[in-house]
Amino acid sequence: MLELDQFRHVYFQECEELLGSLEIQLMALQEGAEADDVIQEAFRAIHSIKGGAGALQFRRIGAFAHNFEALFDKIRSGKTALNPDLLILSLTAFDMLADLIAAEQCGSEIKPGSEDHISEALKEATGNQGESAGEDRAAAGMAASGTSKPVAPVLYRIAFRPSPDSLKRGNEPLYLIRALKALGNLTVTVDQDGLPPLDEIDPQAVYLAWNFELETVAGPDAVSEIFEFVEDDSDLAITTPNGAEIFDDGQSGVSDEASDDGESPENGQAGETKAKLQGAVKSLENSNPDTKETSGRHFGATSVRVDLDRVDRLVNMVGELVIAYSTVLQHVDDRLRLTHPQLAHELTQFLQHTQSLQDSVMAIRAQPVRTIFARMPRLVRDLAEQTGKRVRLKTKGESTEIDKTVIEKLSDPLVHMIRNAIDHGIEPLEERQALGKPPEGTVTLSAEQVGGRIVIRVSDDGHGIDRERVRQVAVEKNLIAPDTNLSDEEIENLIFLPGFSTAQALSDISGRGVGMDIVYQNIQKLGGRVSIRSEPGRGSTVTLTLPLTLAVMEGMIVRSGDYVYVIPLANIIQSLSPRPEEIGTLPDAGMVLRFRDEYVKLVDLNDAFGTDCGAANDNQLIIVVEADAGRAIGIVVEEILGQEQVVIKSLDENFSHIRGIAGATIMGDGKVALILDVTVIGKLGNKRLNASTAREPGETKLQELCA
Amino acid sequence: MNDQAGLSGPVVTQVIEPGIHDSTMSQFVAFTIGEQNYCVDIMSVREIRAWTGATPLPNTADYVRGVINLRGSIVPIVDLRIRFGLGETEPTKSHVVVIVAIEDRLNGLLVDSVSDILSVSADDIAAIPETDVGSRVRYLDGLITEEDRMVALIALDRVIDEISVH
Repeated sequence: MLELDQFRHVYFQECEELLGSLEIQLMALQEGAEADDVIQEAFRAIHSIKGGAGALQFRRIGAFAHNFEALFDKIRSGKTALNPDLLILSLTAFDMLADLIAAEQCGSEIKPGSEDHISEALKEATGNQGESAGEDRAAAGMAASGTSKPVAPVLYRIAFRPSPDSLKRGNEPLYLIRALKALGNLTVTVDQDGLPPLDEIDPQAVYLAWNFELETVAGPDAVSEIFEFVEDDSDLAITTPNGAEIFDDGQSGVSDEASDDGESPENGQAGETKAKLQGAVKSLENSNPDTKETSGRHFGATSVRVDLDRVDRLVNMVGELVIAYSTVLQHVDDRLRLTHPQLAHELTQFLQHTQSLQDSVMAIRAQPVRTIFARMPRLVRDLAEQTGKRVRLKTKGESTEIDKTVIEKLSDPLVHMIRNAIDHGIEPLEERQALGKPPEGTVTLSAEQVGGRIVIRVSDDGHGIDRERVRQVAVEKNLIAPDTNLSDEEIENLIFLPGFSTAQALSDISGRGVGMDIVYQNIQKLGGRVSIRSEPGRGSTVTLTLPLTLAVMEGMIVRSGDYVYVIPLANIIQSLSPRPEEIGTLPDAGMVLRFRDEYVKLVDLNDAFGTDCGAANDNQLIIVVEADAGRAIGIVVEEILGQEQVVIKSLDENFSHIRGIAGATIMGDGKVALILDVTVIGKLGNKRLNASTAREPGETKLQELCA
Repeated sequence: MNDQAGLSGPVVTQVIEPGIHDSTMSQFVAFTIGEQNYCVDIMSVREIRAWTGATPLPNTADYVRGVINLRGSIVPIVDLRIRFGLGETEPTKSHVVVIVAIEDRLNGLLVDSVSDILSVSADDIAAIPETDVGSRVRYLDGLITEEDRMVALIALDRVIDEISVH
């Protein structure tokens, strides 16, 4: 059943999007939004999840979503007012639904009946006993759980004529027939009248029509639901024996009328509004028929799903194109330019097109951070429940876009940071009340683009970092000497040191300790930086600064000895040629540069990497870069070769990480140049003085030669 | 297939047709380093290139000559002469880089020249005599006799793996 596998795959992909959308709507409702379209959107998401579950026979998802949907149906039609309790119920139901879908997707099993109490609560909240019996029956039809009350079977007559093209749109009548059969006794009569002579048959077209007689205890909703995704793509009429027409696609929105009949008469008006609303939705959908067959009705219209590998291949090819351009340019000398004046112009054009191609390709990979932010509300709810604290999550700047590869790797660090904020930041309820703070703690997650980088902040309004304690732990763990003189900021940032576990240090909650050093390492691997600022009693803010993309970067090309390096332009503050009096020597032979009324440490690349023992070049240049958390260092180089956009390649792919090297790139001549990791380069200088024991034998030899 | 190394042109890619041979026979690409003969399993060889220089890497072992650009991938080059303790290669255009894949990782082996393709049955690969732990012999998997010459079969995972660990 390869086809079915494919449908499953598409369904789960859609579910992911729909759940994301649903959660966003629920959060909006929690924030106090009451707009009809928010509720409508939430309803649609649940409805689509239910529909797909029905088609693929995921009965538990279908039955549960049905109850969930019923509640939102009431809310959107105004029959039930949304209140905070309902909202909490909805969030719980959302989590359950997500769990059910996740379980179905990975084939694991959630204990049967674990969703029952939520289902009951949903039914209760949906209220209206008269209707809920009908809903029950419908749900029973979906669930086929056999628990339905003995209700006399009803005979439905269904005339179904799919449009000739429906197979091409992925609507397979066989699945519908199977679904009907699952509801009860089914008699199928095929209408072959539409069948053309054999030589005119298009094998991909549907010529048959069917008449069904279905004897079932399931409600009319359950029957019409089966046809939900084909009703616009077929002639369909469903009638009950007493002649009531429960569905006829000639009139949009009437399908619900029959089921609404059971409701108390005073609801008539609301029912009408509902029908109107549905009519409006349908006409909207009908106006856009081409996008419908993907059944991603509300998402498919403006996007396509593309395998990331394909995009990556494209990115690579564009990178090669840029390199090829540079190579061509090197062959075009001045003489050629004089004899072919048009050539220079054409080449400029070529460069512009290549660059805009590169930008466009990069834009394909960009995704709004919403995709990961949307996963956090649930985490916060779970953690709040576990810790017994009351926490609300605020998010800002969800539409900030960042490269897909960065997004993927951002999820874990964010989870760690939010856990930390709730575990160690936010105080327990009583403590907050005693302090006169609002009982509900707030964790704010924000994203914004600043220049070529993305800044993501996680702040909480908890008690902040206990600096004394952090210092004490750092001393105990031998991370700093007891007499080290550190600023408040430096003390706070100690928690990022490897081996400093905040869980042991600051909280008694065991087993869920998360080392912030993991966050630090992960972000650093992405070419980003992490820092924390805290105000005692008022909370902490962890700030992540990340590159927009991991694929391309503006870099300054420099030479030091025989080596060519790329320094990320984003890090560069200034490049200068110092006067001798601006440079000073420290007692440990380290050099400093007077720069803007401060002294910055100078790092000679040859020293830092132990690469060259040639005589020091008089004509030295210094590139002042921001190394980390606002700290500047000066990198000493011999020559600046230019500035270029470079495609970042990983060294790790075939080799291993080298401290101080962030990656490599391929220059215009096809040679490889190394990209400096300025965040750690300042620390390399120190390291080299006392690290020779850890070196490979061959390298020690090199150092001895140099000495 | 002899004496391929001296060919002109920047890239020498040899397409090796799988010959009809006994199923227990394996094929090996043999190459020379000075007077010594080594070989690697042909299944791990991706291509053979002439030496065109490499970008040296700082803070790495001396036998890593640097990295090259292999159609957009950054591939490290190992100087096997240093790895086997025979001194440092002074590479010229006639030196050869054998690109091998170990699992998904690509590595280049800098050698003097590629000499032969050997077809050897598994029974004809002799075991390495026991030696001290830590000896460079650990980079070998076995010994093959070919026309009275001894050809050492390189254990690629060991010769390369220790580079990646740092």
